[in-house]
Amino acid sequence: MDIKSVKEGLRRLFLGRVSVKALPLWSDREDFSVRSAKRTVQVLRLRPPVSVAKAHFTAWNRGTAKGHRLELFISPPKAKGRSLALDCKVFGRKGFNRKVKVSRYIKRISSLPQMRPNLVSYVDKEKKKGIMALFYPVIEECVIKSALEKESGSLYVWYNPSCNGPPKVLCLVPDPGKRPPLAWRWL
Amino acid sequence: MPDTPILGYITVDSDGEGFRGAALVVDHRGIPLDFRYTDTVSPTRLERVLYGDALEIYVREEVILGSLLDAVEESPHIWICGDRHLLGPVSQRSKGLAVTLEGSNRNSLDEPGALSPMPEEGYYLLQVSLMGPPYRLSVLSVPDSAKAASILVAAGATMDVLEPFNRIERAIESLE
Repeated sequence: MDIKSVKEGLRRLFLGRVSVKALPLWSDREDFSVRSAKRTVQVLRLRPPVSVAKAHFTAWNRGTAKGHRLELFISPPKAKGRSLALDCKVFGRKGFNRKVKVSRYIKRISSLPQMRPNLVSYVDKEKKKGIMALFYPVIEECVIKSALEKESGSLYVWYNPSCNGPPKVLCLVPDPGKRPPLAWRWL
Repeated sequence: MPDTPILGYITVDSDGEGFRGAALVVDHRGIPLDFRYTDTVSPTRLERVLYGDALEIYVREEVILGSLLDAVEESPHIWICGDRHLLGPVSQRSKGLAVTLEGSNRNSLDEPGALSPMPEEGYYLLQVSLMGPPYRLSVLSVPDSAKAASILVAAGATMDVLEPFNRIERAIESLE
């Protein structure tokens, strides 16, 4: 029996027994809508605009600090036909002024006295007998006025700048006949 | 060695907020020949952050010292600095001799001009005057010590070579 005769036999056997019915997919017969699968890309900023302060670092003579230039590179991530937008503002700040105002004040400092500490403790015991205070060097010819500071024992002397003379030792010694019982001696 | 040495004194001080410098030049009697001081330089917070540790060096050496040394009209035989950090820059800019000088509590050395090396490199004890303690001298190089000693001893015969720093301090105080 060949396959052709088997098929014929089966067709006669089932003829009229199989009913074919139509089953609609949507009972309300809505029309199909076709939509494109293409998507659009919306770009949103993830952060506010970036501000960068640029410093002019300065290199100077000793070379301990070399200058650097601060630069900012931002490469936006690549997307098909679109890119992220980032606004970047760069502010400049100048380095220190190399010059600062210098003032002359010779008159004021010329009016200040010179201070001499009491050196009596550096004199040999034998030599300093009777000496209460000793000041050196003091130019006698130049002294306009002097003042002894009791707390520190230091002597302040005002000089006449237009005179000169040899340096001397100025001593404070007891003088019982005077009131107060002290006297100045030049050596 | 000059017969009548001229001494220069230079300081740069910081009060934590700002920096100020002063320079005083005196003759062999201690009488002022020139005195200059700078305005206070106060770096901003941003400048402190940007410059970091280099800020202090930059302000002291470049801004203040440079301006002071340019302004001073006298040329002293020696610059006596208030701080050892100033030695190099002062020596370089003035192209002259620069030292630091401090008091000490030691006993007097034999005679004026006696120079005794100390354990720290570049430091010496120097007897400047006939009476009184030796001073602590610091220099940049060994040959500088002898040069500085001769100038300071010559000046020390007629003035107290450390005293002008007091006058600078008092003058600056009177400005404030």
